[in-house]
Parts: sequence; structure tokens; C-alpha cells
Amino acid sequence: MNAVNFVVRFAASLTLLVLAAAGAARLAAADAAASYRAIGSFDLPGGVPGQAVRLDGPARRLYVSQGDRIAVLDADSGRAVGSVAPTPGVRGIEIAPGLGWGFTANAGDGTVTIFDLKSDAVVRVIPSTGREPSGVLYDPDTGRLFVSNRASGDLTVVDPVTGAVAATIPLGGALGQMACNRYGRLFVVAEDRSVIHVVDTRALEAQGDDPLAPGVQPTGIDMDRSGRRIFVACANGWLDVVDADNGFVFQVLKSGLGRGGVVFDRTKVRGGPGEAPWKGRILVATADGALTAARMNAFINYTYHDTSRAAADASTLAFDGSTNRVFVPTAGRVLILGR
Amino acid sequence: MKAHFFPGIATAVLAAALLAATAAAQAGIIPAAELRGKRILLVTGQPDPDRPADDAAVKAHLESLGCVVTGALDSDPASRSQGQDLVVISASVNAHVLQGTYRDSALPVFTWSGESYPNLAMTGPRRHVDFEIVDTKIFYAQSFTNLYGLCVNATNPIARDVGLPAQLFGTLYLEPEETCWGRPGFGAQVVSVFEGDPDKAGLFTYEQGATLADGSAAPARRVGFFLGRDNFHMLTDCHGPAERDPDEKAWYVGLKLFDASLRWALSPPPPPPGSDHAELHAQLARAARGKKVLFVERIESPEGKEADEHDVAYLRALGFTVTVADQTDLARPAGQDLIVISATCSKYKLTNKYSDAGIPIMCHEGLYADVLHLTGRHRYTEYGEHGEDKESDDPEENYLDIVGAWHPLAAGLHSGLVQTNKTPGTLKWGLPTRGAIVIATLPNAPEQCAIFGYEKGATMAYDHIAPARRLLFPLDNDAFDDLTDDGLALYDAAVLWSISPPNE
Repeated sequence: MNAVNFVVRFAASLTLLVLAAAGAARLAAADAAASYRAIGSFDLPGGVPGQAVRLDGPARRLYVSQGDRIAVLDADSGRAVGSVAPTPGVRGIEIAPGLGWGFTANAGDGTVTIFDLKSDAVVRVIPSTGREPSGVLYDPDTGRLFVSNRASGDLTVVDPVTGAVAATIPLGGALGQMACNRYGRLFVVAEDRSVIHVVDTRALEAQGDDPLAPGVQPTGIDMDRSGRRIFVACANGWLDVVDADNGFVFQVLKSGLGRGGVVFDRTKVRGGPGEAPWKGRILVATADGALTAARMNAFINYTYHDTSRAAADASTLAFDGSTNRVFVPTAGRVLILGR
Repeated sequence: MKAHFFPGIATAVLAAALLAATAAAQAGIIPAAELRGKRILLVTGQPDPDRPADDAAVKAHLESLGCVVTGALDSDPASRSQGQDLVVISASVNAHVLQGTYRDSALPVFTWSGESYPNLAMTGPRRHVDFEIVDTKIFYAQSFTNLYGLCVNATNPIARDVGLPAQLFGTLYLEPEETCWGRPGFGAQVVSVFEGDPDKAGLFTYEQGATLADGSAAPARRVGFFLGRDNFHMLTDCHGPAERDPDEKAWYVGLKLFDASLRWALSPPPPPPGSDHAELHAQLARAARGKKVLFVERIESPEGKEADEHDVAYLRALGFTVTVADQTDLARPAGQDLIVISATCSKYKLTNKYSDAGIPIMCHEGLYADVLHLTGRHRYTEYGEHGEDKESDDPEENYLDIVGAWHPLAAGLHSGLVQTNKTPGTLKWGLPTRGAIVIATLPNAPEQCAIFGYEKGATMAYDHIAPARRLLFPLDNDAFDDLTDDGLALYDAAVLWSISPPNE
């Protein structure tokens, strides 16, 4: 089946889903106490708007990109505890506590910066083989660093220890965020093609595409590694839930509009009155200022829960499972939402 | 460079397209490209907010394939189908409202409304017995079970088209869903069943001219599909790495089966077999030239000796080189084109020697059916005989009920009762698997099949795969000499089909 067919047969089923979303909204109203709400904010140094965000939970450090540098904040107090620079036009941040290093994808000069997680010092700068590096992901299983290059539509694979480029994998499209599982597959969104590229992280070769529907223009991606589910936030307001094994979009949930980031968290959540516990949660922050929460009922069943107001232009987020807080970088500050 | 490069690509593309088209043509199914412009009447029920259906998704899908879709309600008259190429009936229809509106339609009909199966004469009328809607509330466990289908005939054109072997496959995506099944008559071709139960056909078809469940001939092709009312979008499919894995690709075939069924329904049926016996006989004589037959009999049989001699003489007159072997002779099928097993043989003496022969077998001895894996092993339940004093309550017979008139094996004879023998006598029968092509049943016994065959590669009893064509053509000891002209036409058609190249 071609991608068009896939889209139409799923898209035409949306009446069902809208009805389901309406039902879920009623449920949320009865459980308003469980909704996320703004409970504070951290100021960003110099008031420079934040973009990408990453939390190192055990170290209680929050990394927020600010144009040509990374601000490092204390995740509890918001105090600025350091910075990483230079990171020209940084778009993606990754941390690898096992290595003691962090990584940034710098679209401004086409490089990847490796920095020390304790000292914030730059360890090494590696030129990417592609143009406009936008996403960066460290796969602990292969020990490789994957860099998605938005303008050239390819993936640069780097050995972070030596700095050697292991491969450049052409995929096509405006590549963005990535997620990987524990059995050798990497998933990369192609924002302008409405597909997820699948890459073999060991053989370092493309393995085909998973078409998305009804989601269009995927921007955020995360996955449930043990559940083998991929969650893709799409700019047209849908969150596609994909079976990572066969590439089948088996459920779609209502979400916010515009660019977005998504986080899956497997921590059990106590349900509202009369509501079964959640087996996990999916949070989506989108550019329309919405923070959408969805609940995991089972590996094959997820439901929309509610939408909270975050901040305009919020398109990335970090989740702190230990405090149940959501960090959303925005204009000059990091908004904190909690339940 | 370009001048050399692009023609190469063009040639490769053209070759690939030709290969795909050839494969589709061999399967008797139009390629996907020929769906463009096909006019489809999609018959649905009144929208019900409490019971949403996937009709919009189906319509959008059909349109994405290039079809021109017109909607109709179950309460509309059959005249709505004028000018259409296919009638598609959704499970959202109210079968009591729709009734037999398209029962006699000369257009092909493709439906997943299990409750409409009886109205279309695709099954009998009894819910739970002839058809079932496997609702997730009432049949929770079964709705899980029905996430798995079993392909029972890999040689069926639809199964071939999607590359589905005789194996389990995923029907719908992972969550229990509403499905339906039917128990079609033996005039139907069954592609898949649920729970391995031959009486729970998930996907089945009737060729134009095949005998429907009520005994009438199908006016055009009919397809029954296992979907529920709201789960079209959950038909299995795969992408990415799974699509590159042959095993996974052959598992997630729900949507491909839907599309192939649609294309089969829209494909022109094969021309009906000619009814000119002289021409059939001449065709057989042409085909017989240079062919060898091993005729296995009980030499010097006290009964049927003369008939065997006449049978052998008849084959020789056609041009076959016939070697006669005694039932106790060492099996020497090598170099033969056909093995004929006479009814004079004793099942006990014949042993298993020809069961796995890689050449076609035409068996006249119905009681030997289980040894050849043509049927199961329960005597009088899965094979038996009519008209034998000590072993049957049924009368002697000299008529057969033709249910597969569309097939070349039917020799162009019409559906219904045909006199095949001049005088009533013993007639053997078998209950084949749903992988068989059934041509004739015994009168008043629609599940006791007299003439049936298995295509090479079809699934026989106990999941044996037919190593070559297999055919039961019951002829009791003396019956060859008693054949009517129609009986002899069936005999000629049986021999011709047996020695013809299989559809592979």
C-alpha cells in the first residue's frame, strides 16, 4: 500500500477519534485536579529565549539551548550553574551520563560539540558530514552518536570517543528528532515527508520508512522501548502511536498544533476518582501553547487525557519523573508545570 | 551517459511492471492500475452515532485506488447499481432492510456484512451455524482468536496475489475486533478460515456460475470478507523493516487481502467451459499425445475386470501410452504423466505407495481418499458411499449435483442434477478440505462431494500439501461401462485437467 492509501484510510476514521476525544475531555473535567498547571518558572540568563531542553535527572541539571550556547540550570532551584559554549545555532541536546559527556547539534556551523557533564567544558568539536545538524542522539548499545542533518537529509554517525565518522546514511527529507530502541533500530522523523525513517544502528543502513497518518509534518518523537511504541507529535494536531515493529499507526490521539516535542514516561500514575491507574503517560508541548497529556492504558490502548496551557512557542519539553514536573523553555524563561 | 542510463532504468521499470502484470494476469486478477475509473456502488446503512462505522475510510481508500465511488443506502432499490462495475456492501447495512436487493445482481458483489450472506445466498440462513458476527462483547475470546486467520488454499488467486502461503496470518491489528465468518456451500472457494475450522470461512468467493448456498448459480462473482463494521482501518499492514522481511510481509496481509479481493471481484471471470463434448474429447486426444498413464488395478479382479479393460482401451484410443500395474506391484510412477487408480483396487492392498507421488493422480476409489490425503480418516463421516447394501443408508445413485459448473472439470455441464450413469449404483463420496475445488456433490447430500480436485500446492487433509494435482472421480467397479454421455464428458474433463500443467 502506498502512503496515500494509508493516509486516507486512517484519516477517514477520525470521526471515531474525535468522538473519543470528546469523551476523554469529559473525563478530564471530572479529574481536573490531575491536570498540569503552571507552578513557576526559571529565568534564563540574559533573557535569551530557550529552544531545546534536556534534563539530567540524577545530576539535577537542566540544559537549555540559547542560540549559540547552552544554559545549565539547577533543576530544583533554577539557579544558573554553568554554560556550554560555543554551540552555534544549537538545535539538539543529548546527554550520556554513562560517558560523562553531553552533545549538541549545531545548525549554525554544521558541527557537533561534545562537552563534559561535570565541568561543562568543551571536549571536542566534530564537523558533521551533513548540512544543518538538528538532532543528536547517543545510542548506549552501539556506543554511537547519531546526528540528523536537516538540510542535507542525511544522518552522520560518529564514534564519540574517537571523534571518527563511522558513516553517513542518506535518508531524505528535512530530518529532525530521533528515538532508538534496544534492538538496533533508530527512528528519525522527516518533517516534510510525514514519515519516520528506520535505520539499522548496527549495520548502519536505512531500512525503509513508516508512513504517518493522519499526522502530517512530524516534529517530536519519543518511544516506549519495552513496549515497542513510537509516539510522534505532528504539526497538524495529531499524535500518532506507531507499532515500532511493523510500522503500523494503530492509534491517533488529539494534540496541539504546530511544532512540538513529545515525552513518554513509563511511571505509573494514580488515576482520578473512579479512574484506573495510568500505566504511563505521554506529554506533548506544541507551538500553540498547549501541553497535551495522554494516558497509557495498555500496550495497545492510549487515550487523550487533557490539555493544559503552557506557553506560546513552546515546542520542546523535558519531564522530571522524580517531581512530576514538566519544563518548557520559552521566551526568556523555562516554564514549570506540575500537577 | 544519460542516453545509456535512462533507457536502462526505463527497461528495468518496464520489466518490473510487466512481471507484476504477468503475475496478476496468471492469478486471474487485474493489476491495481486497472482499478482506475472502476465504478463502485458502496452500500451502507444509515449513520449511527452510537455504532460508528468505517464507511468513510473505505470510500476514501477506494477512491485513493482510483475507483469512482457512489454511495447508496441499504433502503435504496437495486436500480442504484445501474452503470456500476461492482457492488460493495458494508457491514453497516441493516440486513433486514437490505434483504435480497442485490441477490440476483449481474454485477459482482463484495461484502463484509455477515448478516447479508444469507440474503445473497452465499451461506445458509442460520446465525451461529451458517454465519456469525463475532462481536467483541458476546464472543470476547473468539474476537481475540480471530486476530489470526488461516489460509487454507495458497493456490487461490487471491492468496497467490498477495503471496500468502497456507499458514496463519494477522487479520486485524492486535486488539479484539468485530469480525464475521460464513459457512459457504461447496460451490465456493475458501481462502481463509478462523480457528482452523473449515466451517468458519473468513474470506471466501463464488465464481460466476458456481452454485450458491441455495442451489442457484451465482450470477456474477461474490466475495465474503471477514471485516466488522468499524475496523477497516485496522486491517493489518506493515512498513519499514517489516516490509522487507518476507515472513512479516506474509503475516500482515489484511489490507492486501482486501485489495486483492476487490480486484478479483472486478476482474473478468474465465470464459465458461465449452459444452461440446466432441470438442472436449478432441482436445483431450491432442493433449494425450506422448503422455503416459499408469493404470493401477486389481488384475483379474472378479468384479470390474471388463470395465478396467475398457477404461484402459479408452485411454489408449485417446493416444495415451498406458501401463497397467497390479495393486501389489512396486510403485513405479517415474516417467508417468498420470496415475489412475481403479476402484477394483483394494485399499488394504494398495497401501500408501502412491500417496506422495509427485505426479497427478485420478482416483476412482472413494474409499481410498483418506490414504491420498484427499479427505480425513473418519469413514462414513469424511468419506463413504451411497448405495452399498451393508455400509450405507442412502439409495443407489446415478445422478450428480454439479456445483462447480464454472470450472473446466465440469465439462460445460449446467449447475444442478446431471445423470452421469445409466443405472443407479454405488457412488463414493468424500468430504474434502476447503482447499479443494468441488465440482459435484451427491444429490440431497450437499456436503458429500463426488468429484473434487486439489491444485498442486493446495492444502489437503491434515495440512498435506498436494505434490501434484489430485482428483477424486468415483467410478465403481463396473461403472465405466455405464457412463452416460455427460458422465463420459466429465471423465474426459477429469483426465484433461489432471494432465494439464498446474497453475503455479
